[in-house]
Amino acid sequence: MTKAHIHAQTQLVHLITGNDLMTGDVIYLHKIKGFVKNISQASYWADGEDAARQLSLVEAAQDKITGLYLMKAKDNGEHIAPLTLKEKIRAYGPTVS
Amino acid sequence: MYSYTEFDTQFLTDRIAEFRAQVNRRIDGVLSEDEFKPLRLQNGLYLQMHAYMLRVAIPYGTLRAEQMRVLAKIAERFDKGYGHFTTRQNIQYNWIKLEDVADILGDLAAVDMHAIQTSGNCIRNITTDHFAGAAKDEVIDPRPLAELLRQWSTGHPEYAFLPRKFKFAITASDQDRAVIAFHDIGIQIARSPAGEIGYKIFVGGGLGRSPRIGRELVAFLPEADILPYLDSVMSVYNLHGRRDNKYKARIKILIDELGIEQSKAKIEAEFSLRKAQQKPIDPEMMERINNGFNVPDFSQVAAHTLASDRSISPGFAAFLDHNVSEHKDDRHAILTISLKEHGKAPGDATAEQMRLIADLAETYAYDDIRISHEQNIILPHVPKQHLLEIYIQLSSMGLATGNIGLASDMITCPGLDYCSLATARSIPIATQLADRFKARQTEEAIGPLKIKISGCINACGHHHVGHIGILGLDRAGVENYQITLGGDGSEQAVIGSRTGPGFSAEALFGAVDTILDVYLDGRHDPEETFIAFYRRAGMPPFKTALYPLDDLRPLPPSIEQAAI
Repeated sequence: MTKAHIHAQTQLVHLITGNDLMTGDVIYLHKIKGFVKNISQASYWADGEDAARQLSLVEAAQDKITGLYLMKAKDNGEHIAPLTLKEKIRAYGPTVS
Repeated sequence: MYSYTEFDTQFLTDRIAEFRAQVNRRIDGVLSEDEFKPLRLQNGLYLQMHAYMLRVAIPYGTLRAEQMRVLAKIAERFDKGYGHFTTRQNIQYNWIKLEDVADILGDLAAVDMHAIQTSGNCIRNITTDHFAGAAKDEVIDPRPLAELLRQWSTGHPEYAFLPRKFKFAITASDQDRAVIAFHDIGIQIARSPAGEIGYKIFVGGGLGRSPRIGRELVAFLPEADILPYLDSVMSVYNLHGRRDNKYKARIKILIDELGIEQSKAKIEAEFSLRKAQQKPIDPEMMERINNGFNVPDFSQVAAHTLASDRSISPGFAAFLDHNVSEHKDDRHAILTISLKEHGKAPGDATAEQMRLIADLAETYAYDDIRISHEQNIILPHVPKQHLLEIYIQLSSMGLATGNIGLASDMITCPGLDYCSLATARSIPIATQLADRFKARQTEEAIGPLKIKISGCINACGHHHVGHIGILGLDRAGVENYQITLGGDGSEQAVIGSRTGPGFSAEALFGAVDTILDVYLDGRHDPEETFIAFYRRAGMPPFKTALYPLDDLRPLPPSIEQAAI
C-alpha cells in the first residue's frame, strides 16, 4: 500500500473510552470482548451518531466503568491513532518517566 | 509537632470506616459516580488521566521521620515507587487503585495522617512558612495557629460544601515565604507596639484563571478574635459566594463584585454577632497545641564555622551557598534538600529518597521535616557540624543538587502527562530547561531566578508569580506556551505580565534563552538579580528581543510532533 493510498484511506472514526472503576485504567470498548486497555484492540464507528447510540447502551448496561465518552481517532487502514495529544497520552502513557 | 489525641485518632478511624463503606457502595452500584464524586474528593481522591490520584495532607508541611517512612511505603506498595510533593505542601500519588484507598488511609491513620479535605469545595490544607520555628526573622512560630485552624476547619459542618475550594496561608515574617497574598485568606502574624500578638488579614488573593492580590481586611486583629473573625468571613462567603458558575465561585470574585468596603461591612456585621456569642478558645487545648511546637533543645550542639568547609568540593560549596539558610540559632542551619535534580520531574521523590531523608532527620535534625510550596524538602534544624555528612549521604541518592533559588529550582505542576484538567505538558518543559541550564553552566551566572510552569490556566504551577512564568495552552490542538515576566509571590506580591504571543515548545527554549540574554547583557552588575533588573528596565527590552518586527517566520513544529 503506497503512502498516497494510505492517506486517501485515512478516515475519522469514533471510539468509546472511559476509566475502569476499580483501577482507574484507561479502557476502550470492544464490541465482543467488553472493555480493553489497548487502543489498537478497540472497536470504532465511522458514524458519530452510531457511536453515540452505542455509548448510551453501554452506559445504561454496566457500572464497573466510569466517565465514558466518545473520542475521535484516525484510521489509516493499518492502525487507529488518537487525534489529540491528551488522548495519545491516555492511550500510550505519560511522555515522561 | 502536634500529637494526636484519642479524639483525633477516633475521628480518623471513623472517617476511614465511613469512606470504606462509601467505596463499597460505589462498587456495588448503590452510589452513582455523580453521588460518589464529591465524597471521594473530600477524601483527596481524584480520577486523573491514567489512574486515581490520591492527595495526602501534610498539615502546614510538617512531618516527622515515621510519617515520611509511611509515605515511602505507600509509594512502593500502592504506587510506582515515588510520590510528588505539591505547591500546597501536600504529597500526591498518581497511580492509585480505588480498591486500595481505604487500606492506604488506614496506613496513614496509624501515623496520624490522612487525605481529608485535600480536595473538594471545602477548606484545604492550611499552609505556612516552611522555615517556621527556625527562621531568624519570624515573630513567633506560625504553626500553632495553623494547627488551630486545621482543627477548626476539619469536618466543620458549615464549611463542608462551600461555593468552591478555600485556601489559607500564614506567615510570621516580614519576608513572606508562604505566598499569603495569593490565598483566599492570607494571615500575617505581627506584634503590636505594645508587644501583643495579632494578625493582619488579607482576603481574596488567588492565582488560576483570574489572578488577584489579596486585599487587606483588617490591619491588626487581636489573637483572641481569630476564630469568630474567620467564621464571619466564611459565613459571608458561604452565603454570598456564587454557586451558579464554578469559574466565578472563589471568594476573590465575591470581593470583586461587592467591593472591599462592602465586603468588610458584611464581615464586621457578622463578626459583631459572633464575637458576642463565641466562647474563648480553650486555654488547655491551646497550651497543648503550643507545646507541640516547642523549640528543640539546642544546648548540646557545638559551634561550627562553615567557611573552611567550602573548599572540600565545588559541589559542597554550591550546596552551602544555595541550599543552606540562616537559622535563629547560629550553631544550626536550615537545609533545603532539592527535589530538582537536573533532568528529573520537579517535586518527585522516590521511596528510597524519602527513607533517606527520614533517616537523616531522625539522626541529625531533631526528627523535623518540612515540605515547601516550592516542592523541596527542608530540614529546619540542622547542626552545622553535620552538614557535610548529610551532603555526602544526600549525594548518594541524587538529593544534593546545590540549586535552591537558581533557575533549575522550578515549580512545575504535573501537567498533561498526569492531570486531566491540563491543556499542555509542563514536566518535559521543566526537565529540558534544567538540562539546558546544566549543559551551558549558566545558573550561577544568572543568579537567583524563579521559573514557574503551569500546564493550564488553573495555575497549580504558580506561573503568575514566577519571575519567568510559563503557561501551557492548547492552540488548535498544538501545545503553545505563554510567557509572563516579573511575577513575585513574596511580600512584594506582583502578578506577572505577558510578553506577547505564545511559543511552541521548541521555540520556547530559545525564547527563555533570549530573555536571559537580555538580562545578562543589561544588568548593572552580577549583584542585580533578574527580578531587580526587570523592575528597573520593564518589559520593553524583552518584548523587542522576543518579537523582532521583521521576523515573520512560521512557528517551528511543536513538541507533540517531536515526541510522539
